[in-house]
Amino acid sequence: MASPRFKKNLNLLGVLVKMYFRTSDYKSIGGALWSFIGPLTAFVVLYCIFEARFGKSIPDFPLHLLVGIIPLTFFNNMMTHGMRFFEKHRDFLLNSHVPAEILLVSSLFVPALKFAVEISLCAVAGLAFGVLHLTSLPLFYLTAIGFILLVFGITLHFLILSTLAGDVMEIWTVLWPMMLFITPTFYTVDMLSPWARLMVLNLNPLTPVVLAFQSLMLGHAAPYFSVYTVVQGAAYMTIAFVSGYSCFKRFEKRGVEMS
Amino acid sequence: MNEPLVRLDKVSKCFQIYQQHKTLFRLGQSLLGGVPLKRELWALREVSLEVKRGEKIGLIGKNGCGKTTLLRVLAGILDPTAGSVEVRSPLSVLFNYSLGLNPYLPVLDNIYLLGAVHGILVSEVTNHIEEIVEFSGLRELLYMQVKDLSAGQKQRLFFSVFAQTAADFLAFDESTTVADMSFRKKAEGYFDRLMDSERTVIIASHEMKFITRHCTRVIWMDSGRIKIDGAPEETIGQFQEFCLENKG
Repeated sequence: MASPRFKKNLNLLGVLVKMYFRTSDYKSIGGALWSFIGPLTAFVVLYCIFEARFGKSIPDFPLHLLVGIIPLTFFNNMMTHGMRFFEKHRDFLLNSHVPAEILLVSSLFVPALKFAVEISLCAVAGLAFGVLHLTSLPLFYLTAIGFILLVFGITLHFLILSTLAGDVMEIWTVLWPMMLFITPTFYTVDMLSPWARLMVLNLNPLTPVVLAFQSLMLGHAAPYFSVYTVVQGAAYMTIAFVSGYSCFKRFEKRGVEMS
Repeated sequence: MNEPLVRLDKVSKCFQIYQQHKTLFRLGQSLLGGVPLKRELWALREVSLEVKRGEKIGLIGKNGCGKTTLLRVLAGILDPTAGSVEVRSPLSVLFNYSLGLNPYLPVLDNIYLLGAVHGILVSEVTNHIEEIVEFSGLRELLYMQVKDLSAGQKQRLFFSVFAQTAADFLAFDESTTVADMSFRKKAEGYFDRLMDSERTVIIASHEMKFITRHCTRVIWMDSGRIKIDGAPEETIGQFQEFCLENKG
């Protein structure tokens, strides 16, 4: 038997998710298609620019590129939504009992849903081209869930930082395009110089997941994808999620006051 | 049953106010070099208070004296910096009509949103939707986006949904002055019923007539402290005298 408090919170989560969904692009098919324009434009531009240089040496280059761009776009969406959290929801948090985590989860639901749809469309393309095997689908979605938790955890850290320092959001806007170059989206890790490889493999928490997506999608291990990469990805996810959530819980009331 | 509903013991609340735009550089300077980035603002200072079940309390004082902060601490929205807070029944507060409605959703959807925020389940809102719509007088505007409503119409919306709250402990923060004359009559009827009920009510307001009419006890707050806690006429009289003396 659910407690009245749990029932009320579940009710609130449902109403908020519905509210965010109805005010997003996703309320109509045309709007949903429009929301794909961003990743699609990035895909077309990168494909046109890098196809001649990298396309020849990377098998199934379009799918390799697509399965790299989609997680990156999701990462950026979550970060921009998350960093404005306290600023956008100040009235709610200061003038009601709404638990901050319910408000946060519901406000990040639409970007997460968008990612789920995009990655599913990507999987459909992989199946249609015969590179993604049906047996790999559960692992593919498990990776997607892990990635959502990883990004959620990183977002929570940046949310706190951007509440403490107002210019973090602006700095992120400037630095964000760099992510495209330090994540193996349009190239493979074996094409890099040893020091660049070291940096991309060890300093970018998105690399293990992107390599996992590419390996599952294309039916063969991406260069430098190994058991170590899987362990590294799982460790990044656990650390980011657990530390992000516990920091957020400790910080939430201060964040409300500071917003 | 004699146990008080609320017991505050020397509760203080301090806010950290940033003196300038907070940047990453200034944050680093503050952490490493000890350069002060913020100053303290004490909104409540050693407030001790007991509220019995069924009491109707008026909270008065100048703007910025700590009324809203006190209600936020009682509601559990803010944690006190010092002292202890015991509240035996959750407090539902209607804060000054500044809760975030969704401006791009129609009035009807915002009724459900406000209901959920005040702990009212969707099924309960559905059961009372006629009552809410009737009370608000916004039947013709149910499918209009909230951004197109006037400030008074938004107040009607807030008040009508909040009136459905079944909580035993309620507070109103400068939210007793509502909209136009016709709606004010309805709201007065609600307050009359509320004050005759067993529910515990705290009203923070600048409307002294309203407080005198409805409250059995009045707390005058000044600079984060309780200045006087007593009978309505006496406390309000002294407060008004103080305001006249300190007019300049």
